[in-house]
Amino acid sequence: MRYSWLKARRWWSSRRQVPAPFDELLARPMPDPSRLLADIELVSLDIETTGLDPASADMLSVGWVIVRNGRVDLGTAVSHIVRPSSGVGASASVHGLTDTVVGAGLDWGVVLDKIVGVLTGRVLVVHHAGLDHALLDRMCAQRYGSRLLVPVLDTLAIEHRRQQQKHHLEENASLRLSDLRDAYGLPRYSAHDCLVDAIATAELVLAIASHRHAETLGELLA
Amino acid sequence: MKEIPEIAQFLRALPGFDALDDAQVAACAKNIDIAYYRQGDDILTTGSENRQLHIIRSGAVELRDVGGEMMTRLAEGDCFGFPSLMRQSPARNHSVAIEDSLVYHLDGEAFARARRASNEFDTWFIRALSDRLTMQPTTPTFRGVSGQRVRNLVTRAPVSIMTSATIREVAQKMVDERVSAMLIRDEEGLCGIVTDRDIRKRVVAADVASDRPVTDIMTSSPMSIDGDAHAYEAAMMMMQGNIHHLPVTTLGGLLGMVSRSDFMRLETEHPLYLVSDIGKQTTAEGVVEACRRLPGLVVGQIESDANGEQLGKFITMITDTVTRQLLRIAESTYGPPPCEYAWVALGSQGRFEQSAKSDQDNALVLSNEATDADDEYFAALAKVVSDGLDACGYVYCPGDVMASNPKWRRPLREWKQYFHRWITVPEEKALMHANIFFDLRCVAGESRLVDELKKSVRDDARKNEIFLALMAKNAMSFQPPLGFFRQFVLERSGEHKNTLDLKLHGIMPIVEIARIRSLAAGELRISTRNRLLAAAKAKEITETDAANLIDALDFIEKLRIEHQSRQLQAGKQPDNHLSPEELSPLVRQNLKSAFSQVRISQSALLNRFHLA
Repeated sequence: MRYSWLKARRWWSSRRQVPAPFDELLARPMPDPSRLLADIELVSLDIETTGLDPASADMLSVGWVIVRNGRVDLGTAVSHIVRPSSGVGASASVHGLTDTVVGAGLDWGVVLDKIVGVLTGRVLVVHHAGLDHALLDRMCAQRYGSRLLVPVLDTLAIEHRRQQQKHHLEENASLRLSDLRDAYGLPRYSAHDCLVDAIATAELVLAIASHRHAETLGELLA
Repeated sequence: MKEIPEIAQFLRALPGFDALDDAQVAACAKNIDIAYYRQGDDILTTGSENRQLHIIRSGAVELRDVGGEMMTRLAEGDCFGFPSLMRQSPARNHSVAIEDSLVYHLDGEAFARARRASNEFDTWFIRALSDRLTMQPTTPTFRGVSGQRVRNLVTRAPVSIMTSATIREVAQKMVDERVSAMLIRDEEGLCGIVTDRDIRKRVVAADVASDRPVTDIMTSSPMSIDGDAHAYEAAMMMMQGNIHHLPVTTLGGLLGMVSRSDFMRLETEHPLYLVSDIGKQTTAEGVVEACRRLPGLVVGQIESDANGEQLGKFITMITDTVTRQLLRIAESTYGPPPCEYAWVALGSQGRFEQSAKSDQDNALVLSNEATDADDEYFAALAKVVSDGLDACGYVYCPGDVMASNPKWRRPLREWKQYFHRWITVPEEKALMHANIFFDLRCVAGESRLVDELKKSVRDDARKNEIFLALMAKNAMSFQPPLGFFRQFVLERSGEHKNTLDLKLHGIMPIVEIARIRSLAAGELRISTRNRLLAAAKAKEITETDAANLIDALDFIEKLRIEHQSRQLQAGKQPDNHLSPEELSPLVRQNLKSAFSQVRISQSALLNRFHLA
């Protein structure tokens, strides 16, 4: 979503009465698009879901970490397990989460409030934002009557655009998180833990910011 | 807080941190910021405040002292910044990312809590602190004075006088200038030297009139040394020539002079004492006995951070000294030689590139007057030297390329024929021989014989593109591994299974490229580095290519030296077989790029001879 359009939508949504903590998210100004990535606060976030369709999938677990002053602050690293409405089903084998573990989690609304809290005044960073972003939009609409409406940086999309701009010789260079991390000289992490993926994405965004230090938030949102 | 497995796992594996329990590791993890530094970014600058322990998660960082000298290179799992943190003082060193690096910054307060919580953790960092504080820049220096360039030992401008001067004028100027030796010049430059001793012996004692021209008593065409040579080379030269003063020259002319007293600061354990000791021996057994000190001296040189070039020269000079002394001993046993001869060093000794593990390769070039009957004498001579070298640790050449083999003990004209045949009928065996014999250098005897041989060889080789092309093709038989992590080429059999032969796959390809390129340029330089520089000068290869290959050679040789030093210290026989576990990730990375440089140069060589 373009920055100006996002601003308009936020203004529109904030005219209505919205429940806390979403009201605060709308009231707090977004980071200015002319600022450099290294100068703004980001929230790198990853969600594990019960499926691939945002209309029906549920959030199983979520992990995030804040990036500020150009550093990933591990003191802010948080992960939550969400108690779903239905059973875990087939994807349990992928995420290593069983019904028992998931059953001990928090209510999705409580977790969503926390997500909204941490995103207030910050920029959301997701690798391959599509599903996670759509899911958050749907949950926010259900709970607060509005889409999420925060600036979103998609590390996959940024790298995809870069490859297209540079007419990369290697066609279809992989855009997977682990391959992009390799390309930036970042260490290998074991996949499929949402907090580790959130940290991995946070480090990737630092690498991108460092290699493209001249670009502003606005340009990277594109 | 929930543990972050990736972070905790990494921390727990670090030296020092392995002493912490799970809760303490988790407490550290919570207080970490992660930063990404691009290659070339400063992390800590000298004098800056530091409130964090820096831990390299990936990449590489170089620490430099105030003067910008490299202190050390750090890689994954290494820490820095703790000296300033522990002493609560500004950072002493400058740290720079030399690769794109991910660095964990552990908050100073959390670090202090961990030190209070675990004695072992605290002790580890106190020890690391004392190591770091005593660390010296890693610029290559020989212990004491001898690693310096000769030019740095020259304390004053040259004191010289023209050949037209009388002895009295020379003596007067020596008194005025308070020097013990005077250089004598003509229009073309340095042509003689006069010392205090000469005045005593050749003037006063011999009752020569002091109004005679100085040319009557001076030592003509004195030995001299280039200002860029290492000081120990000057010391060797003075010791071997039994002289006390050595003129120092530079491209533009005279630079000055060094004297033996300039070397007074040498410690008694210095290698030069070994040289002088070997020179005093009258039996082969005595030489062997003196050589027992060699491994210890090699380790000493390595510890004082000699690089591959310096160490190669050092070991070769000892070998040369041993060879000359054994020849002297043989000559005193069997009498003076029946005709002129030149003792020739081949292979790595020829190139000044011997390592702690080197075979002997040598030959005898006899004067054309040599008769069949003379061979008995030279066979005996060769046996003394060859056996002596073997007993000193330079084992017999497995290919029997030694002067003790009658085939390699021939008159000059036959040597010329040998080379002519190798060059014009280059069979496989001929190419193998050419590789060894092209690195020939006269160690003792009549160097004129060798110079003449070299001249004819050079003219033969340069004209013969086919021969050079075959040499180039032959040089491809040993290729460096493609990569380190996935395609590490190891020897698949034999006692050195799962190790990398640094000589075969790293050093030899560079040596061969240099040899062929310099031959193609019509140069018969002898050391690999000089050959590359000469080839670049003759535009046979690019300057960059030459510089990169020399860098690669420096690096691979350094690895071999360190490997052999570890073996010598463990009392083992040194070899060239490196096990991958000996290498840190950073070293692997560097070795990988050294290998890729060699491969680039190999394919350029193939292209040069249209073989690609």
